[in-house]
Amino acid sequence: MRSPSANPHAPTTPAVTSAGSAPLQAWLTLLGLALRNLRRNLRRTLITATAIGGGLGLVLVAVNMNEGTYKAMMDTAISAQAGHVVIQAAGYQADPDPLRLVAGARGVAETARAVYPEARVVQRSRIAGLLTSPANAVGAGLLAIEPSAERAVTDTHTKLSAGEWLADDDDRGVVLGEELARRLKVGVGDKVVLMAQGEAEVSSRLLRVRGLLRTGAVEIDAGLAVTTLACAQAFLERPDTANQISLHLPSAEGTGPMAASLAGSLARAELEVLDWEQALPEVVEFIRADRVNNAVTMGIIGIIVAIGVLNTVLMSVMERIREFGVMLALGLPPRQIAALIVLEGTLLGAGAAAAGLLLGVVLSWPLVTYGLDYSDMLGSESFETAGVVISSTLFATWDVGGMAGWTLAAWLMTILSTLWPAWTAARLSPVDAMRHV
Amino acid sequence: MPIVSTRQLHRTYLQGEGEVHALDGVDLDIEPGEFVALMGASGSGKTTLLNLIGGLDRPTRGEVQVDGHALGALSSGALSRLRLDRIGFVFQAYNLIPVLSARENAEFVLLMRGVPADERRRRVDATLAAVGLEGLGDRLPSALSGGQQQRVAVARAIAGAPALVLADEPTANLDSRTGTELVEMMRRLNTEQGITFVFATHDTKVEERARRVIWMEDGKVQRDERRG
Repeated sequence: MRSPSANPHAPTTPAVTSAGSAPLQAWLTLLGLALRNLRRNLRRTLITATAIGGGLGLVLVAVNMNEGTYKAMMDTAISAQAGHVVIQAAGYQADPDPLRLVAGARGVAETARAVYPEARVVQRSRIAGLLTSPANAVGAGLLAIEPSAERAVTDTHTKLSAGEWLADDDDRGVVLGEELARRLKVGVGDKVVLMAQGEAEVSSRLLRVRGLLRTGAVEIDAGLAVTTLACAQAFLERPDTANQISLHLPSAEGTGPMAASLAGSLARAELEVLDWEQALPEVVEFIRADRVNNAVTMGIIGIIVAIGVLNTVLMSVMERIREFGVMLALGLPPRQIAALIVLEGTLLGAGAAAAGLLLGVVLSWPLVTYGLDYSDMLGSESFETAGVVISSTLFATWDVGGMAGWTLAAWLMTILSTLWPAWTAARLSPVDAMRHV
Repeated sequence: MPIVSTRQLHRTYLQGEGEVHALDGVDLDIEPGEFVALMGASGSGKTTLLNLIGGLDRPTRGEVQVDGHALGALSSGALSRLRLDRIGFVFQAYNLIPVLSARENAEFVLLMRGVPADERRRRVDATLAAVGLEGLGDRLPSALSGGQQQRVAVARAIAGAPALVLADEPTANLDSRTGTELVEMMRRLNTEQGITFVFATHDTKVEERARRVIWMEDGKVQRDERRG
């Protein structure tokens, strides 16, 4: 037998008794291989990426639309129903009895203006009673406002469909919702009588209809009547009182500490000072529940897409079993085979998530800028949801955090979808895998 | 010291309710630099023996030593590392990675080992030249003939300067002329570079050029013939 000659390529390899850790170069090689594997069946890769990216894009549009709707609800509820910070008699939040009044309301309002000069401060009262006309009697909620001050914080006056808006000192005027007026069979200039619980007994007051309102929300138009704070004070025979003094600020952020600070400045134990989240628990709860509901729905859609991705990745793994067998035979450890598949999912997910984010931005932009007009579908210019009347033209809002979260979730979901196929490939025996047809 | 040593090597497979003794007590020593052909009919145990020597399969009983390492004592990871560092494989169906060019296929093992770029380039250039593939390095396997693909597979097997190359029916899918050229080439690599080759084959061309022919039958070594 010929004696062996020296091998000119003398191996310079590490000891073989330890698995050691793969060099960075090996991981970069796997990364390059993963990219090429994605290009190998480009049509399948594009279809999978389209499913992920398209789904994500639509989810992002929904996220931005939902956030826009929530913002519209909060803005409207804050401006019309409460304020960013609300001062009211202690216990009014739990039991909104019209007779729980803030005494010395003007002084309280002045203090609030002094503490927060940037705030617009309005006083409001609410009276639940019966409006009667010669033709009918209808239950209604009377909102008593300072008409001129209220113009700066709500757009109720713009909903006037007939007649004129109220004057601050008009203690007999009332503006009725169109549907309420129709039920009472009254028009502008007609008289109605308000009957409600007074200080000791049921009181009544003659009011004259100054104008009609059309908000577009049937429930509101059928039950809303607006009068002046002066009228409410005269009816209750409680001058310089109001149920609420509300502060309207440039931003809804950080109102909790402001409420606490204002409570300290007022130093009146018989008053409670709430931020808007405390003052509007129904709206806050509705939005919170709706967010959870939407997240669950989108999550289910995500899981369905993930199962589709899992199927595709598993299919691509099954097609390459022989190839993985060869790699195992050449000396790739099983963890690198698994890593290759996870890397493919990582790259696919990153590309699809980026495309989905772009799609979401492109589709959301016109909805943020021009809004989406549902008025034809709803048959009115506004609609009521959770007791809040908002415009039928809904605007999306950029929910950067939500978009980032869902984009990341789509990416992670794609990566997670590859774990089982990767585990399957890593468990292959090289001999069996290379026999695979 | 032998590069390959097997002692009382058994490999039994379950088939239905019975057992198939693919290997039945094989004792074998292969010295560095040998050019060995395992011959025998289908089912004689050639491929099983090759798989056990390559650490692709575990014996039911017995021991395999490769390059001084008892394979039975190695973990799965260490076995992978041994294959990566010390063993080259050539398969019947070429089994190149389809998304890598000829050059990248040849380079693959070196990349996974972390061999520096300059060293890698030098080795791959030399290897491609040795297997007669100069100028074809950028082609994908799909753009190469069967013979060229098998040359790439040989280049991949030897580029990492392994202690041992195991070739399972490497000429089975090639026409006679191409098969002869490939065997001649591997013989030359054996002579010039001292690489140990062990073939499992039916091909008489391989047998004719082998310096040692081991005949197998029913999982046993029937005859071990050394040639001059």
